[in-house]
Parts: sequence; C-alpha cells; structure tokens
Amino acid sequence: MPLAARDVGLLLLAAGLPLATWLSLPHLPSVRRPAPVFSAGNSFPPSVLPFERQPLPLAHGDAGLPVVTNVQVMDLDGDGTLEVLACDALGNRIVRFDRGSDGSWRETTLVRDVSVPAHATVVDIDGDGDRDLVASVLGDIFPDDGVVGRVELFERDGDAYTRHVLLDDVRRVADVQPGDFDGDGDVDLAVSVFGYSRGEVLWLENRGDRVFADHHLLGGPGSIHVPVADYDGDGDPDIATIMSQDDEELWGFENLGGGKFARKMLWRSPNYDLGSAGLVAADLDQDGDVDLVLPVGDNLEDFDAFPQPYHGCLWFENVGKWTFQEHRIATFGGTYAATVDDLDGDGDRDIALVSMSNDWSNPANGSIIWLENDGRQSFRPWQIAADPIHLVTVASGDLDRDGRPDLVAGSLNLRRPFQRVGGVTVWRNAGGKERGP
Amino acid sequence: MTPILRRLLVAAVAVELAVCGWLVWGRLARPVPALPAAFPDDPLLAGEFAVLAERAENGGAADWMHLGESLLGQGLYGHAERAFEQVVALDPRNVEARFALAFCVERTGRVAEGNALYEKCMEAVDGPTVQPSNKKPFALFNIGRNHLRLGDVSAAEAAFRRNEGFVPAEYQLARILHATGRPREAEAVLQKLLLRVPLALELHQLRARVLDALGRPAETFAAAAMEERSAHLIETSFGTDYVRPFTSRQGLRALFAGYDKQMAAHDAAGVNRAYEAIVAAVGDRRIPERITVLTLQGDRALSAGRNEAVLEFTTKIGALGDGSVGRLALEGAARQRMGESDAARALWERALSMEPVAELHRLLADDSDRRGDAAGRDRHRASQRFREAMAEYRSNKLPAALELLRQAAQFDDADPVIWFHIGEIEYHLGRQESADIAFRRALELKPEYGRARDYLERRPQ
Repeated sequence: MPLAARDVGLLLLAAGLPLATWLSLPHLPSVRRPAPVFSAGNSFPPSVLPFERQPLPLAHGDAGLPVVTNVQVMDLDGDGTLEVLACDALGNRIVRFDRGSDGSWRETTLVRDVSVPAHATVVDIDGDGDRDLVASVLGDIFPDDGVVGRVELFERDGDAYTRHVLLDDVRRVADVQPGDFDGDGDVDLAVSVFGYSRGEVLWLENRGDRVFADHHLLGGPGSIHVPVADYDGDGDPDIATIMSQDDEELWGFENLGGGKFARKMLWRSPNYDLGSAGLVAADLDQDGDVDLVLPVGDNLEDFDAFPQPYHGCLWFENVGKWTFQEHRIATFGGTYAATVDDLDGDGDRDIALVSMSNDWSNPANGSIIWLENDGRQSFRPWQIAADPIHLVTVASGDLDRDGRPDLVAGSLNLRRPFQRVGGVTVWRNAGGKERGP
Repeated sequence: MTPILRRLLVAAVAVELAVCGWLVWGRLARPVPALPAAFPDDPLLAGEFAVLAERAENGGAADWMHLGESLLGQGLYGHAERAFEQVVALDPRNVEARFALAFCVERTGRVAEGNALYEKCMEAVDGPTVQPSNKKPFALFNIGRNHLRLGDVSAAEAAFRRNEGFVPAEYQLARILHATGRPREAEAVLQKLLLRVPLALELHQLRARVLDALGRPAETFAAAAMEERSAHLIETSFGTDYVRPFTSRQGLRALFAGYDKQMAAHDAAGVNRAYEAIVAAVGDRRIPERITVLTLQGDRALSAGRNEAVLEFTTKIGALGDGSVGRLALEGAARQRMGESDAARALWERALSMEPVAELHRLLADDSDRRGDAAGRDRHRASQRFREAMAEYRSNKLPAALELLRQAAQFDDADPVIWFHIGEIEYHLGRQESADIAFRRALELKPEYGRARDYLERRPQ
C-alpha cells in the first residue's frame, strides 16, 4: 500500500527532528545575557567648589608609571611662595616643583639615590638657619621584613645637599617628625619604623654634630605616621602614631620631660582589616586642642584591593586628659590620605580625602573628594575628580597665591588598572571665599 | 499506513517535539559567563578568557570552576562570583566552589552575606558524599575574621573557639583575650601554641604584650628578644595564599611563570621561546612588566657579552623613571666588563648607598683589592659577611650567623652594629658574659647606641 504524502512527512519528521536537534544544538547561541556583576565603591555629587586640574611634569611621567609616596606644600626656600615637595619612589628621588609666574611648573631633583623615600621632613636640624631634609627611607615599596630602612639627613649647603645616615640597621621607615622632646633646645626626631612583620616607634635624641641616640617607644609593625603636637596642652611636644599592619591601634606618647615618655593606647579597632592609612594632627573643631584625623582604606593585603564599607575617615576629637572620642565622618572606598584646610573659606576646617583603591571599574567613582564642614563637624562629601586614580597622598596650600587653598595629590601606580595614570597633580581651587590675611 | 501506526507515529513526533524543544530551550537559555568589556592592562587576557568562557558555556561544573578561579586570579571578584554561582547550581556539594563564592562575596565588602556562604560551605564539607576537603578550618577562620570586620567580637571569639587545633584561629583567640582584658587566658593559649610552633613571630610579639600587661618585665624582655630569630609567621589573613595559585594561569603572568619554569629546568630552547613570547606581548605598553622585560633583556645581553646593548637597555629603563639599585648594578656590571672600572665602581657605590647588597659589597671588595686599597677591601668584606650573617640569623641559624659576624669583626672591628648583633646572638645562645662584652664594645664604639644600652639595662640578670 503506497504511503500518503502526509505519512511520508510524518516519517521524515520523526526521523529528522532528533537528527536536526542533535546537529544544530551545539551551534545555538544563548539568548540570555550575562548576569550583572556586583560593583561597589563611592561616587559623590560634583564639587560645589570649582577645582581646575593641572598635572605636574614629573620627569619621565609620560612613559613610566609614577610611584609617588608623598606630597607636601611648603615654602622650601623661604621666599614667601609655596612649592610642592614630592617623594618619587620609582626614581628614588626627592623632587621639588616650582610654579612660574605664568602658571607653568618646573621640576627639580633635590636629592637622588634615596631608596624608596616615604616622606621628606623639612627642618633646620643643625640650627644653621637653612632648611635641611630628613628622609624616611622605606628601602622597599613592597612588603619586606628586611632591615632595609634608614633615616637619612640631607644637610643643606646652598643649593647642594650632603647625605648623612642618622639611623641604620632598622626596617622600613615610613615617617620622621621633628620636635624638641627633651627640652634642650635642639631638634629631636620621632620615627615610624613601619617594617612589615616587625617594626617599632622610636625617638632620636639629638646629641649634636649629627649624632642621634635611639630610644625605643613601642614595638610592633605598621606604624605609619608620627604626628608631633602638644596633645595634652602642657607645653611640650608629644607624639601620636597609628599602628596598622594587623592590629589597628592609635597610640599616644605623653612627654613627661627629660626625654621620658608614657605610652597610652588611645583607641583600637576590633576590625583588623580596617586599613588605617595615615594620621593627621589638626584642630578640626577649632576648640584650641589638637585632634587626630584617620584615613582608613588600605587593603593592600589582597592582591587586588576592593573598597570596603568601613573605609573612609575617622575623626578623633580631643576631649582632654588623653581621651579621644571617635567619630566617623566619611565613608569612601580605599581612602588613603587626608588633609585639613578651610577649602571653601567659610572659617571652619574642611577635609580633602584621596582614594587608592576605589572600585576603578566604575569610571564615575571618585579618587579625590572634599568634605564640607557645616561648622559643627558634620561633613558633606563632594567629588573633585575621578582621574587620575590610585591616589595615596594629598596636601593643601595656596600655590597660586589667590587666597584659596589648592590641593595636590600623588599617585602610586603599582596595582591594576594602569589607566587614568597620574604622577603629581594639582587641583587649583577656583572658588570659595578668599581667606583673610 | 494503518491508522494505528499513524497515531503511534504522531505520538512519537509529539514526544520528540517536547524533548527536542526542551533540549533547544535548555541550550538557548544556558547561562552565559560574565566577562569584563576589556582587559586594557594585559593584551593576552581577552583571547584567553574568551576561550575559557566558551568552554564554560558549553561545558560543565569543572569548566565553570576553572573560569571562576582564573577570573579570581585577575582580581575580577564580581565576575568570578557569577562563575562560582553556576558551579554551585550545577554541583551543590562542591565545597571548593562554595568556598570560592563566599570568598568573592566577603572580599567585596558583603561581609555578613559572605559568612552565611561560608556556613553553607562547611555544611557541604560535613554533608555526605563530598570529596575530602581541607576548607573547613579556613572557612571558619574567615567567619571569625569577618565577625571582627563587623565589630562583633563575641561572635568572632566563638568562631575561633570552634576552630580549636587550627593555629591561626587560636592565635586570633589569644589576641581577642588580650584585647578584652583577659591576659592570663591569653597567656595560657599562647603557651600551648608555642609548644607547637616555638619560633612563631606573632606568638612571641603577642606574648610580650600579654606579659607586659601581667607586669612580668623580665619575661616580657625575653619574649620580645625572640622577635628577630622567629622565622615562622602565622597567617592572619589567607586571602593572598588562596588566590596566589590562580594568579599566573593566564596572560602575561602565565608567560612569566612559564619563563621561570624553563629557567628552573635549564631548558635553553624553552627559555628562549618564553622570552620571545614575553617581549612580543609586553611591547612598549605602559605597564610594570615593561621595566621587568627591559631588565631581563639587559641581563641576557650581559650574559651574552653584549655590553653596549646592556647600556641601551639601562638607558631605556632610566627613561621610564626607574632609579633602582638593579638598574645601577646592571649598568655597573657592563661598565666593568668594558674596562670602565671607575664608572662601574661609582655606580655600585651609588647602589650601595641605597641598599646594602652582599653581592655588591663582594664586587667592591674585589675591586678595592685590585686597586691595592686594603682598608676599602676589608670594609666591604666586613659588610658582605655582616649581610650574610643577618640572613642566617633571621633564619634562626645562630652558630652560622655568629661565625660570619666574627669574621666580619675581624675585617672591621670598629663597626658597632656588628658587635651589637654578636651580643644579641650570644644572648640567645645563653652566653651572657660574652653577650655583655659585645654589647659594651658596641657602646664604646657608639655611645648613643640605644638598642645596645637597652639590652644591658633591661635583660634579665
């Protein structure tokens, strides 16, 4: 009996359907889209104060990846105008930037062959009337527990600097700050030996002729900064430090006179991942005593750092008798440094923050912001820029002499992404009230 | 065809349609891996990840796992998270994927959510028919650390107590006990741990603080003095250890790892192939590997005796802003071979002014010897021995370190740092009198030497 056409079709369908499916299946594209990926980080409303960005001409900056560990704004030569002092850890140099009358900038190497300078302290250490440099020598930018740090004095003689090693046989040194701690009229030094697994805080007693005796204050790794100020208002300089390598502890060293100190733990965080990244002494609430400002956001313990919800800025209000009250004043992923200044000229103290590790996959996330103080230490964040990224240091000062504090920041280009690369960057403050004389 | 046969055929076609439709829909609706839009810092990653993604899309749990780990190795936590989710969907008992998923979530700041996922991971470890896994103590450790990140010290303490027997967790417990004013309990935990890991740095550091809090100064001093010779580190965060194996699977890092492997195997042809691949891939991109490649090129040129080429490479490195010891040392080596020994010496001395490298001291000692400068030779020999001694000391090889320090002191007996460390090692060897002699010698040479003074004043009698 001959098959009807529809039967043939049915048979072909029965045989062909599995075959066609089997043959076509591997070539069928998915109709789904990739699931959205989690992203975080922080961006803020554009700054109400206008800032004009100006990259400074770091030597070789267009070809290499700058590794700037510190910037400061100061009058280095005493001529009444401010310069930018920067530590170039790729070039192992301490450099200075001068602003010309036409607004252009010129870079000068002050000293070379400084092994990964973390900070350069400008101080007349020998009392001869000029400003010497004391370099905090890390010796290695990467985690290293080796005895590779130093404190080096670059004694100024005219335009030249002569190197003297003040402290050797120590681990990575992150900061040195001056103060006459023993009240004998000369300049002593407080020293952060950050190290890695081991470290310490020291003070160096000036015994004249560039001879310094080392005195141990505290053991443990991770001391970042040693801001010197009269925290207890008794007329002599005290020392504070933040320990950050794994413990997150704020310490004070009360100067008892005669070179004696009493150490005090002022605060500790149970969060060992907090990521304290620096310590700034400033009278934020202008009540006549010295407070402490703590940027938190270092999470270089991961190969690829990611912003955390607890990153940002803490203010430790000095309420007397070595008691400091903690206030969180900003949440900002990857916060690495802070500077305090009256940026909007309204008479109170604002703060600028920079981020090393915001979530850079989102180009809107900020790298530099400022916190507007409402006069009662309540702060509102404003975004200044999202480019360049990887900012680890920030300072303020009136670089263009227009009465408004400008900002300068430095980039540490060690981690991905190697995009939006910067070196030393100025943000000229083009708004706000002018400050009085 | 009979009606019955026709009806059967129709039924078969209907079933086939349903099955094929289900298969086609499953295929069309299969999950697609999430990849970044671009990989601007590594020219190899886009192609390599496209292959991994295609394998995952068309493969199974193992392919998704491989993709996830590779994404994690590139720091792409969010993308890796999606891949690990897919592994868990395909293989819910996969402990490694559950751990990886929790890790991605908590590292991106979702700490409480991450802890819940670690708990799921531990449930999977304890569940039936799962392959053996060592992840449980690590998951529990991360739970404890995450409780600390959330500020919940009590929950952290409970998690670390649940992890008894895992040294890093017990160390964290001791820290909490110390920080919460329970030094005696902390000391008991530390004593127990030190029996297991006698030369663990963190244990001695914490113990010094605990003993200080207990008002036991002699023991505090002894615990603090153990710092330098404690070569063992206790992990306080396992993030980098966990990710490290995945970091060199793809891209430029894989090329560099391949180069190192060929070098270790002394396979000259393989080394050359890997080298050519690296040079081609890095090119003149603005990435850190650029300086690494130029240095590699300089080293190879030096080995081949192409000294002029070495100088070309060091000039290029300098043009990238690099002022490193490595660049100066490399240029110095080339200059030395070109007969420019004064220039070489100047470069090596600049390098040494930055970093005390034993090998550079050796080169300068030899150069001083050639020049008839016995004082310079001995000074550098002393420094060379000193650096070698410190390496031995920090590996807790005290007799070897002491022998090298004694040799260093023979070359330069006026270096207070050498005498200080002789004293330090003699102290650890229990020879108090010899230690005191060495510390006093250091203080004679450098009266402002605080560490030597501290040893003499604070050590237990």
